Amino acid sequence: MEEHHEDLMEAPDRSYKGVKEIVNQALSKLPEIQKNVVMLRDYEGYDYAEIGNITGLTESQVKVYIFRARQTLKDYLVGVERVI
Amino acid sequence: MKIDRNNYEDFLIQKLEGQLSNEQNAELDLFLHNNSDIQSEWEAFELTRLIPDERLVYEHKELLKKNESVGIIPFYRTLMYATSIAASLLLVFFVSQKYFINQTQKNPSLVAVNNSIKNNKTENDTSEVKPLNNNLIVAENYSSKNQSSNGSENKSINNLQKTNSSLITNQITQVRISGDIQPMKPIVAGAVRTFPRVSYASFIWTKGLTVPHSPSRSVNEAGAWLQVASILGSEIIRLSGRGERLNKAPLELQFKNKPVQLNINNPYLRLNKFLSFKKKNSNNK
Repeated sequence: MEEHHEDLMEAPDRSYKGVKEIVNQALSKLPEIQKNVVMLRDYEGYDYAEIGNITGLTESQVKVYIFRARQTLKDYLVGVERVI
Repeated sequence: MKIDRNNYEDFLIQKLEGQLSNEQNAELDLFLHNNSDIQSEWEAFELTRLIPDERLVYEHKELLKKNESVGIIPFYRTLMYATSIAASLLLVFFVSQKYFINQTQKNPSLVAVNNSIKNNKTENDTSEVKPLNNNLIVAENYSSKNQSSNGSENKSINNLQKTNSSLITNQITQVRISGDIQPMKPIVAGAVRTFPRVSYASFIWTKGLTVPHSPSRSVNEAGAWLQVASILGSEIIRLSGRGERLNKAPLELQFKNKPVQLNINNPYLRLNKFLSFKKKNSNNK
C-alpha cells in the first residue's frame, strides 16, 4: 500500500492545478497574437469571424493562428513529457 | 482527404475546434483506434483547450458596463492612430510656420539697397549707404505711419533717404524692395539647409565673388536672404546639409512681394560691399 502511494507521488502531476499551470506556461511562450486568438476562442467562446473582427485579422488568419497555437501548445506538453 | 500519419494533426486540431463533419469524426476515431500511439497526442491536444477558472469572480462586474445614456461612437484603433498622426503633423507645421514668421518679423533690421554702394568701405560703415536717383529699387520705410506699398518712385526713394538717417543711428527700420529690378545675375546664390525647414543659409554674392561658409546667424537672416534673392529674381542654389547641390530652389513663391528684413550692419550680409543692381531696360537691355 505504501509502495503504491510512493508511485503516485513520483508520477507526473496530472491534477487540474498541475495541468493548468503547465498549459499557462506554454501559453506564455506563444507569440502575442496567437495567445490572444486562443484566449478569445477558449475563454470567450468567439467564433473565427468574431475574433477576426476584434483583432483586425481575416477569418483565415485567425484559423491559422489558432492551429499554430494548438500545435505549439501540444508540442510543449508532449515534448517535455510534463503531463503526458 | 484521407487521414494518414502525415496529416492526422490537422484533423486532430479540427476535431478539437469542432470543424469536422460526422463522417470525418468517425473516420478519425477509427484512425485513432488503429493507431494507439497517436491517441496520446490527441489527449495532449485536448489539454490545449483553455478552460476558464470559474472560481475567479469579479464582484463589481456591473461597474465595468458602460452607461447606455452616453453615446458610444465606434472609433477604431487605426483611425485613431491616423488621426493622431495627422493632427500632430498639422500642429508641428503651423507652429513652425508661426515661429518662422515671427522670427522674420521681429528682427530689428532693414534692407536698403542701392547701386552706388562703394566696395572700398568697411562692412559696418553704414554712413556710406546713399541711394542715387537713378536707382529703381524702391524702398519703403515701414517704420513710418504712411506705409504706401505701391507709392511712386520718388516718394519711395525719399523714404529710403530718410531711412539713411536711421541707418546711421542704427534705429530699427524696415525697407521693402519693390519695383522693376533687373539684377546682375547671379546676384545671389545660397546654400540653404533644408531640413527640417529652411534653418540657415550661406550665400554667395554678386560679381563672381564667392563667400563660402558664411552662415547666416539665424532663421530670420536666412529667410531675409531668400526674400532678397527671390524678389530680385536671383538664382538660389540649395545645398544639402553636407554641401551637395540640390535643385534650384523654387522659393520665390514663398518670398515674393514680402517685406525684406535685413540688418545692414550684419557683417555676414556684406550688403555695402557686394550689392549692386542695374536699372531695368537700361543697362541690362
